[in-house]
Amino acid sequence: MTEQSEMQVFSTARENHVSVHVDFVSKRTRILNDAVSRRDLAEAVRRQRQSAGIRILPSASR
Amino acid sequence: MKVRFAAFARYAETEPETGLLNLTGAGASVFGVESVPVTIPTYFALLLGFEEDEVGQEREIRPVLRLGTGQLDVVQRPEPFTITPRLGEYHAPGWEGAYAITGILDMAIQEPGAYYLDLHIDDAEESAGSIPFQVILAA
Repeated sequence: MTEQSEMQVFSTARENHVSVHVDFVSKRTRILNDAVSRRDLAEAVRRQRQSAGIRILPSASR
Repeated sequence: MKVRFAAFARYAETEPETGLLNLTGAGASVFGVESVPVTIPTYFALLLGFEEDEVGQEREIRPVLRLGTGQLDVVQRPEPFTITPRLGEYHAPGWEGAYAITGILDMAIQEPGAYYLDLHIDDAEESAGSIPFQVILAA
């Protein structure tokens, strides 16, 4: 492998991004700010799927 | 403004320092459920493209959940949210800008079937993009 110089990778979306929670049940939408723990949120989603018996199945187009 | 990329995922986030999307299990399109009705939580990621003359303009993003029957009935319309695109330090003059939206959708599903998550921008009747998916009963 040839020697490579250090590379940094960015997106032009660096200044343009938002994280949201869209609840189709209550019809409410909220912006998720940095104070919301990503790990806690991911764990809550995982538990919600698990308790409801929801599985993401292999792609339909495979 | 247009949708460059849209997908469900097991997990999705945007890196604040770089603006890059981190996705795991992107392209999820089949949800197996034990019974209905059920609320399905899913991560999603959108990458929108905008022109320079759209900078600073507030845009309304309207997700709409639609049952994929022949009549394509609208199922649910939650609150929309707004974004305002800006030009950053890496923007090249004349080039399209990018806006990343990630997060979680909680979708109330009443029956198995084929659905579409349509994404409308402002009051446009036609969606700017769609994420098709299925809900099937799978014990």
